[in-house]
Amino acid sequence: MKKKRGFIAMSLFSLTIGLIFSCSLSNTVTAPRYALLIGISDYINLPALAPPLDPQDLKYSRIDAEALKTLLASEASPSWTLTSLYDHDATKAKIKNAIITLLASVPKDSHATVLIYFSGHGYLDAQRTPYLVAADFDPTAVDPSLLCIAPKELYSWISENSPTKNVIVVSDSCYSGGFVPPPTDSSDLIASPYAPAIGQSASLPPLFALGSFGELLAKNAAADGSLEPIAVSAAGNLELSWETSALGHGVFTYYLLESARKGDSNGDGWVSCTEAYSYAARSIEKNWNKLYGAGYYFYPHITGGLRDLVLFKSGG
Amino acid sequence: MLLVFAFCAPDTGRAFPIVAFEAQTGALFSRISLPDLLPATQFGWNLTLAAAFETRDVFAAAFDAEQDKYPLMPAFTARLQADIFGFAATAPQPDGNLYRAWQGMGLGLLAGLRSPAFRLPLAGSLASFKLEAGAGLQTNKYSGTALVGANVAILAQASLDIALSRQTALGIGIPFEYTWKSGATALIFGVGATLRLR
Repeated sequence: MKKKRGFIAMSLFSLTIGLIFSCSLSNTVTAPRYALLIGISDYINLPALAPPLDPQDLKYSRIDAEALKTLLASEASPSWTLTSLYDHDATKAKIKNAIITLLASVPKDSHATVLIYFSGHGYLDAQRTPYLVAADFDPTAVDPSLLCIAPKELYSWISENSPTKNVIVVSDSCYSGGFVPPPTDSSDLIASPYAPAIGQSASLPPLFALGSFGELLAKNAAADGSLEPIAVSAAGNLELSWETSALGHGVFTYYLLESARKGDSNGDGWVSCTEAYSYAARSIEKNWNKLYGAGYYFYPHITGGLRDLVLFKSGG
Repeated sequence: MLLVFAFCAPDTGRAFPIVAFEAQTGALFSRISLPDLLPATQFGWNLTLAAAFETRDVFAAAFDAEQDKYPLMPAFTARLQADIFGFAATAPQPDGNLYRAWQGMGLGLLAGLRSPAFRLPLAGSLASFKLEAGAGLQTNKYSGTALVGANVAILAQASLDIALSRQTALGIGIPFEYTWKSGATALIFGVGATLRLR
């Protein structure tokens, strides 16, 4: 009788453990994936070279977008459906049209992932509103921001047209932190403009939440868990983002691309947005900010929320 | 608090509770669920240090008692604990969604009952069950980011302590937790090894 009870107890225990583990063993992503890659090096109304502080063409933004396209094209199962806009083709009207067309092509109820990537200039107006700069930007216009894309515009194009809640927006441009909405469930402790200090790192411990504990409790209570787009930016909303001939890319995009090979921190075969962000942030902190110092500091940002999305297949 | 303890254990002749220090570490399993996502399980770990206040020392009473004539009175307990914990990200779901890895630290206050000491069958060691419930406050962050948050939790703990001596006991602890985080609910349970020092 004792042996039978012992056997039943062991069986129940094993079944429980098996159920627990089996609930998380699914590791196959099957939903379709779509991406729009925008890279603007050659602007219609900007010179190739200009005096310091004057706007000019970029060297590596188009290369950034092309490299990301190549990386995504190499991933199979599930593969990406890729669209790209480069240089003079990436006017504001064409970017808007491309986003709407891309979203319209996503089948309803497919739970597809949509990635929108931008590499190019960023612009800050007098009210400190950040913009993504389209190819037909005219710095001599009365209101240069008219041919730039504001965060409200971009997210309204997405929310009005997207049949899926699985949207990722990645921007490698100056002031791109303005395209990362402030988290509704937490606080982003990285200041903008960034300067190295205690607590200014993606490696900080949760102890730092004590500084605004009551406010964070209230935020947590108000959070509704809705699935907003995941946004990743190269820099804060008041920072420049840099490109360098040493890497042949924008600094952020270089490490974003590298995260596909080296950023799978939990070894599950996928690099999520958070893993890619974390890898890029730590790399920029170590290989750029510590090297180049004040005047060149910048730090990536990412949206809050418990939900994350797969970005790359590891090993790409 | 002292009045409560004096009232709860008049037969001990003590006005003050006994104090024991407890440490616990082990694995955690969190069943987490956002409104628009499939629920998933996050695996984690925790380390807890606690100060436990009890109205009577059930082990000392058993050690002092004559053979097999152990006092049958339970002990009321209170526990102030500090813990650190971490959860890994879940595996991706078929649509590419997953729950982020997060980590945190917390303070908790629990109260409950400890059973009188009894002899374990076969082993013959003195042992005691404890059951406690309470609440806690936690700070947390999403691993790999500087996104910090805070949440409240309902806590419970069941444990079996086996006396090695009058002052020392080893055992198994099974913590339970229900928490609200970022619009999700998480039901957490764990299993760990405990050390009690009186």
